[in-house]
Amino acid sequence: MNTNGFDIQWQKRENALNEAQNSVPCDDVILSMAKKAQRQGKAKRLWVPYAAAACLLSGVIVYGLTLPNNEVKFLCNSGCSAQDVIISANKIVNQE
Amino acid sequence: MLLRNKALIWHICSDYSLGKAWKVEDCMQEVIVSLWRYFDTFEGRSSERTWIYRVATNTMLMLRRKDSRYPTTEQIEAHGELNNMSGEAIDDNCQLLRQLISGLPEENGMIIRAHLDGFSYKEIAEMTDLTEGAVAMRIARTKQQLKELFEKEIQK
Repeated sequence: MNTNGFDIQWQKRENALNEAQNSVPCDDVILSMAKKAQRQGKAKRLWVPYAAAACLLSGVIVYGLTLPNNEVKFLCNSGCSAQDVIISANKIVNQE
Repeated sequence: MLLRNKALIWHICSDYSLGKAWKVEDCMQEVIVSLWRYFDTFEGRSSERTWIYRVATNTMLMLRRKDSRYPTTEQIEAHGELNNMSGEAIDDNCQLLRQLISGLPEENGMIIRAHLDGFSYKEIAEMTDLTEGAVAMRIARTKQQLKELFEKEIQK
């Protein structure tokens, strides 16, 4: 069997999603992106690192968007005020 | 929803970014922001997974159109700035197939990717507003076309 052939590659591509399910370091994805954005300091949309960290702990999805005037706007899914997020985020930052 | 589907989102971003780690993360940010923005449009008529796939794919296509105005990834690659995703073994032929899929017309590329990712004809029909029969025909034709292109490239 030609292991480099189209059918083999097709099959490999069919399995790619399953492999991603097993290999993507999902639990760390959001936090690592936040840290990267913080390090680079130049991401188009910054994931405010402490908000992302808070999200991981509280189960609330929080986005920190940096507006053109450099104001940071928090968005969260539900059941949680931005103020609560900031308080718990600050706790995390202080712990670090 | 995001946490349940993050591997799927990661996979879509990786596929459209041809496995370049620095780009995957940027794309992931964009896709998640899109999901947030369009969440109100999710009416539950299709499955959560199908809806996410469609939003993520549309976001990636939009990014690709934007990127076409800037240096291509291949040009950056030529300057040695390419990072493959860690832990992902990509052999040349695997990458060739990815590139060929990436070069397909947008809609055909989306259909083929969704097919390869295990979506049914019915689900792909929902994503594309085509009939199931049309989806099946596109998949068969595009697969054949890819096979011919692949074999031609291999023989070079």
